[in-house]
Amino acid sequence: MSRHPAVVPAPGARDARSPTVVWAFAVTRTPPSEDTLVMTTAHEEGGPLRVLRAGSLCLVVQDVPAALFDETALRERLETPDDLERCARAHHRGVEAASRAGTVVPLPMATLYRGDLNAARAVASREAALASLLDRLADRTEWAVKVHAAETNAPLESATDTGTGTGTGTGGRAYLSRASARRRARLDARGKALAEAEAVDAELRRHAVAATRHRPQSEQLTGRRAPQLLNAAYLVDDAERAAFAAALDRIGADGRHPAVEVSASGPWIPYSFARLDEESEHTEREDAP
Amino acid sequence: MTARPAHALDLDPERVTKDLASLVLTVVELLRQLMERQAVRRFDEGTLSAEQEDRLGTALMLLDERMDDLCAQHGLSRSDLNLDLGPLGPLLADPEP
Repeated sequence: MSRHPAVVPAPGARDARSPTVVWAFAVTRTPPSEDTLVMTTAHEEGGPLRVLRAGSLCLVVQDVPAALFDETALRERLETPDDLERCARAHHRGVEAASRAGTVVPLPMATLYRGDLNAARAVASREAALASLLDRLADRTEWAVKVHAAETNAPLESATDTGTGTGTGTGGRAYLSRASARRRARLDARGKALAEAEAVDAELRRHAVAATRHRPQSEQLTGRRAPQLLNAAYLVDDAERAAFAAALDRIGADGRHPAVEVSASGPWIPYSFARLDEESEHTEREDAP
Repeated sequence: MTARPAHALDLDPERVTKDLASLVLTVVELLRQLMERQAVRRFDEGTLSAEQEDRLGTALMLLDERMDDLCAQHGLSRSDLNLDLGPLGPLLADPEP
């Protein structure tokens, strides 16, 4: 069987239809300066940052190689923690660059389009919702607050290590009564810590435009031995920022909330409040169990 | 590209044995905690006779000691015996300290 001589496309021809996809970072009304675009490296594998016009809005994007970023390739890569972290950091660099000149709606990580036309069309079709989201996020920042149960430095005695007689006589009953006391103490401590976490949340909400709760992170993720009770984000108006910070200071002051440890970080670009699909609602999404 | 395909299994025999031991002990620990919780509840309600309390308590105490031994044999601690069930939280809600 005679084979057709393989037709190898000339390198130039391949470049013309360069296999790239468009990674979108954020939507804004105020595109960042040319300098900012040039100075920022988002994904190392991709081209320079660009601004796409879509109606009255702008979209900050980057061309990235399809071989690494198409659906299957990306899904596989995002399963490895290292690649996930690199992508998240790259995305954040792009969003940050986009925000240099004004308010942005950060898009979820891995928002990808086949080309400029699709990307611009997607933005244009949601122009009204995006515009109202931009209004809502203007002059506001996100603060992340995590509340953990205080790590007990005096571990409750184990039921077995008291030297009272084993096996016979009062041993069994003593064990049960110790287990019962231990259980009550643990439930008490947890109830107290949860109540304090709720109090912290209530106090911070007074200075926030909106608040939302994320699923508490596992102990593996936080590296702490105590459970995370509250993983919240607050949208804080710039005018209220000092009051919010003061509230955080008061909460952190010694003795106010002995059963919990509170850690806060911010200001962040309001990722948690940039969800388009949930409308711009002011209520929290889920409550503690 | 990584050197190892993403779906390759790690078949180092020692690790497999340890992982299996940890999984089995996790299930045993779950059952032990459930039994203990139930026993403590009935103890608190006062629905057990003194003799029942003693027998149950002794059995649970021996089981607890045995768990310590088994964990030690496999180089595990009680806090290793847990599974993160994602949205459902940890399998053992309040692991023994």
